[in-house]
Amino acid sequence: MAASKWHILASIFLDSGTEFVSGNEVHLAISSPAESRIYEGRALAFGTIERSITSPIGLPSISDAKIRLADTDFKLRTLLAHQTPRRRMLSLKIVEDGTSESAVEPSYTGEIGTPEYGPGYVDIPFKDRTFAWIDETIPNRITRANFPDLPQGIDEAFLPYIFGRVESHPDNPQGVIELPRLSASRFGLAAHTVFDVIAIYRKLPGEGASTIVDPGDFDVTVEATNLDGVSTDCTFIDFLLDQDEGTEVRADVAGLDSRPAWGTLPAIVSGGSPAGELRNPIDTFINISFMLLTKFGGEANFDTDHIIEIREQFETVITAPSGALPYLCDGAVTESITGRALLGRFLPCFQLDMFQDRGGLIDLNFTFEEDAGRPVFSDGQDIEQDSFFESGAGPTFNQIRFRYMLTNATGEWAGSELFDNDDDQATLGEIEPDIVDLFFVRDFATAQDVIARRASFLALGSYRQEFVVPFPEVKDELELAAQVGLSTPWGLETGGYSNREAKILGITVDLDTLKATVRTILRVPQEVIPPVLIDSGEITFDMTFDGEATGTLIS
Amino acid sequence: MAGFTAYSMNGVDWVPLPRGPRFAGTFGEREQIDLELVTGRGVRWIYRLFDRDNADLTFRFPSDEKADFRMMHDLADGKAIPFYFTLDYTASPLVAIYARKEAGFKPVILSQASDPVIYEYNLKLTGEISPDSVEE
Repeated sequence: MAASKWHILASIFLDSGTEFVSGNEVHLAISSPAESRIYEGRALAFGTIERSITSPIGLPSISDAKIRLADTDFKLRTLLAHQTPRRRMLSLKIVEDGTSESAVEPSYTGEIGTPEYGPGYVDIPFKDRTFAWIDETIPNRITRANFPDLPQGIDEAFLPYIFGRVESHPDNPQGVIELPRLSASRFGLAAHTVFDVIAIYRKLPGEGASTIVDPGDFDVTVEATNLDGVSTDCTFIDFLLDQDEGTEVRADVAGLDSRPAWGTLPAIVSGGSPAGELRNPIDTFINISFMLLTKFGGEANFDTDHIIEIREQFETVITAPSGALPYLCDGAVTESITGRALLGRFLPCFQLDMFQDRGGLIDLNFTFEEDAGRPVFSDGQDIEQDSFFESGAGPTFNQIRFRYMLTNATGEWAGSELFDNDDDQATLGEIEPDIVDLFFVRDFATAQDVIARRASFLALGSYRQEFVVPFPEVKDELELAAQVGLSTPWGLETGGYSNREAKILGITVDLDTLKATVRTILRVPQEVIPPVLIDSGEITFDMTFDGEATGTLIS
Repeated sequence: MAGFTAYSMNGVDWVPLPRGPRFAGTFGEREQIDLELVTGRGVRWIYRLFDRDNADLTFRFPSDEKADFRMMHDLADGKAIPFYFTLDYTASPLVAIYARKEAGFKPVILSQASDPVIYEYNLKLTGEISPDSVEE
């Protein structure tokens, strides 16, 4: 096999123009000779880039990066002395010698930080900004500037965002969402249009419980409202009569019934077709992203095709005796919260991984079932000698109390169930409990299915692996959350692993050695056999070896 | 090849050295630096970082020729400036390498008893990397 040659090509977008650098001089032949580009061979080191997702589901992580450039000729110092590189962009591409540079997506794009200057070199740090928009805060939109008639005692409040069908438990009809008061007769329902107001509840001062309000006593009003300079259709409850001071009003709502166009998905207009509140979790994700990006004032690039596939999967994801059931997203945002916190609550509700894919796009993943066509990494072909390590599972939980049907007004959960991994409990001999709050789930079937999938990565047999592979050979197969096969004699299985399916949790690429360290977790936990207790007090482990020996361990 | 060994700062104008190198040196030896990853079953993945042509030549000359070698060092500013070097600047085709010499100029006195004094000088040349290319 002939030695291949790979170039790391860096483009540094400065105000003075773009600087092109690499580890050696690389000529880029463009069809117009006048535009031909030369990457100067002044990169001394490119360092490592790390991307990861978490298990259990959480938010993605992308490391900062740094390149070291030779500056013995003072070229960079001269360039940077009188301009700032901060917040300008830098991108890296990994291109095989002699192949097309434009056919390769950047492996990393980041925003330049503060350079450091050493003797004969410059270190340029850069930070990925793919997820900068999730740090936006959904603000309290109810202020005296936006609503001049706010009653005394209120300076600001939050106008809710309501997704799906948010309805009280039938045994406790008190209303899920408390509505902020805007005037003597007006209460704020939502910072958007809604499909239907299911019920309004009112608790007068001195009353112990809420009662349903006759629909004839109020109007549901949709008004274009100026929120921080942006005109937005908001929904209000206008009582025909002024309400006493101290009156508490709550609502059950069929929420957002609109969504912007998304990739190949057409826009859904409120009151249009299909009618109804949007309950597919991906529709909620699209709306949340749109809301945060509008506040952020920037754009983000999503892998819309793949996310739309997940949307379709969610329509029939739950296997039930009566037939396939969908995941239903039902929940509300009723307090000022950052996008990071919001997504941190939302994503685990549907076992959704969110990450930046190798093409630089924001993508989601749902680990649905076995991937029979998964790429295989093996000792024989890819996994570097002495690099395969495996560790026992951690964290592990064999009992999960999952709470759903949040009553936002009180912070209490109307639904609370237990998921037990009986085998793991018997094996371990003790309960390892966890509590999971499903803020955007009110449907039991959805909750149950999500928790079962979550638990499959928290079992005693949820072993984790780490190994090194040659990055150029496998870069098109390495993707966060992807399912891959592992074949190695060192796997924790009799005879090792043979195409054992695992999910990629992290990828660290060393650009100077062209090695990728990959971290994975078994998709289906290894069976850990519980002991069988017999009357005599002996504990028998029934294990089969290459022969057919069974053993009895005398306790 | 006494008298034909030469250097050039621009690849056109050759400056011959007073004499050629002694035997047992190397010229145009190919150095290859690779990244190597070996799998558990011995499969090797080799990534070429670069290859270059080097030379390791020994000259022995009397003291009255030392200035010619010193001039080569001065023009190259030691290691700082690469230049062209050939064992025969009259050959066709010309075989030359584009390289940097070692830092410093350190001829060693072999014999002070003789007149003139005899020096031995080890010239190490490390080839410059040729540019690579990618398509648009």
